[in-house]
Amino acid sequence: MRRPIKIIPRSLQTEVGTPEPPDESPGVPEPPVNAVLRFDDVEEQISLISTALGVPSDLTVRRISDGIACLFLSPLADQGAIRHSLVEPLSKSSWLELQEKGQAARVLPVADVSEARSVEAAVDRVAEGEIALIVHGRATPYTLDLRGRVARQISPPISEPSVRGPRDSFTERLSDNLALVRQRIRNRKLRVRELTVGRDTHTKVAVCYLEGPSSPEMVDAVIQRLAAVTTPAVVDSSYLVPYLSNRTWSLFPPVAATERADRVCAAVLQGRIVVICDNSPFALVIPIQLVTLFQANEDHYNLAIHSFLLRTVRVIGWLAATLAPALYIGIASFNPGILPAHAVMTIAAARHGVPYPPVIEVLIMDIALEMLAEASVRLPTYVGGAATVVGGLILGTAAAQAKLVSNVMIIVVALTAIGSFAIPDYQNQLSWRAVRYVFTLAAAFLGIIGMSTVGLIVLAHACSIDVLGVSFMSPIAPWRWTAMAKDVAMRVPEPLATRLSQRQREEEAEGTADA
Amino acid sequence: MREPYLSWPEAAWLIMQFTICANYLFMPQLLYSMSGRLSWAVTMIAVLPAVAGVWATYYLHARFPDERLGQFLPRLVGRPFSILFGSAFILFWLGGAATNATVFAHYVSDTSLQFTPVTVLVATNVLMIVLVSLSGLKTLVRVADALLFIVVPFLLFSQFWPFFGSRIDLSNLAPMRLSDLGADKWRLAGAALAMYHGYQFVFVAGPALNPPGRSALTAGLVGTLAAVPAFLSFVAMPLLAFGWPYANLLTYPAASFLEVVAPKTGLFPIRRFDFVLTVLFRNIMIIAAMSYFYSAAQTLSDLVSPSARRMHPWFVAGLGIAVVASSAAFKGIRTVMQFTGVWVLLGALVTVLTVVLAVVARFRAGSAGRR
Repeated sequence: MRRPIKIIPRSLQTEVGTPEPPDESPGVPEPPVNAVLRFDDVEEQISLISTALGVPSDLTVRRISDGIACLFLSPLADQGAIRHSLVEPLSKSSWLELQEKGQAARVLPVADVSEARSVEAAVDRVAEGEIALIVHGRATPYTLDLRGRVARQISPPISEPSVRGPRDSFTERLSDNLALVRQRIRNRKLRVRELTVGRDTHTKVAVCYLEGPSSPEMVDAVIQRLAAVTTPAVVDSSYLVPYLSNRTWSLFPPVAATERADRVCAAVLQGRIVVICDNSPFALVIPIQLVTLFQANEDHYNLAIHSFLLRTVRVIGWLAATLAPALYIGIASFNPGILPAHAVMTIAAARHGVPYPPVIEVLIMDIALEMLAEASVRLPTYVGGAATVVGGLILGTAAAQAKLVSNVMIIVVALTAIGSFAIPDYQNQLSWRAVRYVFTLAAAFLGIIGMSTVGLIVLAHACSIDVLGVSFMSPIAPWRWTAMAKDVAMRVPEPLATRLSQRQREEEAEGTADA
Repeated sequence: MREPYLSWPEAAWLIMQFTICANYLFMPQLLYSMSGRLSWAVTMIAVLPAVAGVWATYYLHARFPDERLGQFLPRLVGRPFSILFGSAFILFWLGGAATNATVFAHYVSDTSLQFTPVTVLVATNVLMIVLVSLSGLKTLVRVADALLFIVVPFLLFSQFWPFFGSRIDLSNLAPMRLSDLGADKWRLAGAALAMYHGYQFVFVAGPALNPPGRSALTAGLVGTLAAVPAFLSFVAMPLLAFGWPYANLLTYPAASFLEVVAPKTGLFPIRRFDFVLTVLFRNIMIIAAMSYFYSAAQTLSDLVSPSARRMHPWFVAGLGIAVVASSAAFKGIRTVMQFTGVWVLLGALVTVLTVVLAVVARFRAGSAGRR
């Protein structure tokens, strides 16, 4: 026997717990006792939510049974889950069974069922992809999380490939990324704190850390900074970087961005904090030091001696990428005397016929190199190879033959390019590419002395950076000998590494270690 | 109370560089002019007054662990004397910054950038000094830390490499006459008093020491003693290589010596060994000049405004401009050398003042302690 229906006009501001108007309210007419059953309140809620969302064409309204309807944005919903977990269980149910608070959670085989505080709150949740379950007689809808998102499969890392090591990398789906972390760190002390950031995008952000190795002050600081994010749109984790760093202008990345799950886990295990952002395959690792930006995760999978060799090559590459053009200018224009006479003569002979000074030569080739690098990133893979050949080989050779640049300059640019690509972290690579121009201009004005000046200024800048109270130059400045011995020039073999890690933890406890 | 972040080895390393600074470019000439062939002995005799200075600095730091010189000086000796004594320190440190920046600029101008105005070279040196001073003491300490890995190998190389060559002739030190030391004994005494003065950095960096107290003494002693081989090498090596009085005829004896000991084969990839070392020693000079400049600026700031948390950027920039402007007064390396003659006497005065302040602190116990 169904109860007589009372239609209560509702508004977007209706809150759960708001006392219902008394029956004798003058604006609400009492329906006749044997009236035809009407579910006007359901229709009104559907109408309100639909109107609030702008009556989108992808909004699906499904009337499951008398007095029960669900409403969702079809691109965000998992249609199969809706059918199995919502429509089938409720198709034979009555709206009366869902009247009591919390009843829906018992009836439906869905983990995440909640009651919206207001119709307006339900609108927000529908916009986020949840399902609004509207039940006759209830002031506000239930909301269910049956989101089925379009996301790519877990695939090998694109920006950080490696010869050895795991092949999985983060995707745009936060839950998948958290699963990749939890699969590797099966530890009860692994903490995940979720926040929602972005006024317009309502992006979910997870802060991951390992209780114990992580400093609670750092964790609090990260959470506070994320809570203070004021930007309306967070469409990628990179939008959060300015909020995590306390320096607006810096040459170097204050956080490391990585898509490698193993690198994220290594960072968490080292006591760093990782920020994973929904819709972004790049997790942010904080705090970060300059030396770690030169480390590849592969270093930990290779023999210690191999890691040492690879790191040495990377450092040489970094020096070549940053200093080679400036050194060429310094030697060719200001300080030829530091080289043996025949070496100087070779450079002079190569430059014979080039119509402008070395600095112009360097700038032309540097900019051409930048364009080539940028073009190869933007172009499709099958065209990119051809562009590299045309730009690098044909154009370079033609320029040298036309005496627009010297042969030595071509070698210098090639060294610069190869060295630049040897730097593992892309952001770090970009930083040093920018620094290279400063070195180049300084060398054009004061030769090697100018380079030395810029070198010290860049060093001072790097030394002045603190990320969450940790020096960016640590463990080199300030000196942290244990950390330096463990994993700077080379990653020491494992039994020793564990002993050094233990010692480092003791130093941290004593307050004599930086991080 | 400031955050303590400076360990004693870091402080010792800073003190060593503060002591060495650009001395290799002017100290040999200065000592040769005062004590001739026996100048090298002065580098060791000068350790004795330095130890007294280290002790005095430590004592003052122990009495005022959380304060810098400009903060405790007014309470120790009263406002008028604090201005007088403080001015001596500030002038000495600013003079040190100017001397280092200028002597290096002249050397670079003489040897490799002949067409660049010296003022431009001084300005580039001062630019670095001012930028680091603006970033604060922590940055200065970290820059010095980071440079350890670049400077130490070359410092050691420059001191030991010559022994593998054929240029060293020990007979060049003979005959050794003690009477050489008495030729200009008062100026020589002043130079000996001022020679190792790096420990004075504790006056500014003391509150950052971790742990405070005895680490100031350890750092002062280790830093000062570590500078002795460098001084000895700078002064003795030109004598051993060129002989007396030829070493005294050179404008830059230590730098000329480094050029001479470089391998002369055409296959050696770096022909101008001294130039490379100059670029590397420039780092030491810059750290020292930064320390001088920062000490002067911080002490001046503390004396004028003891409660200010940071130095005002325009104040630091203004001091930097003043240093560049003052360097314009040095018309050539000879003027710089004349100035260093006066500057070391000021350094001697400051060393004596350091000991005097420690004695005053000992007898005026009421004024000491935390604020």
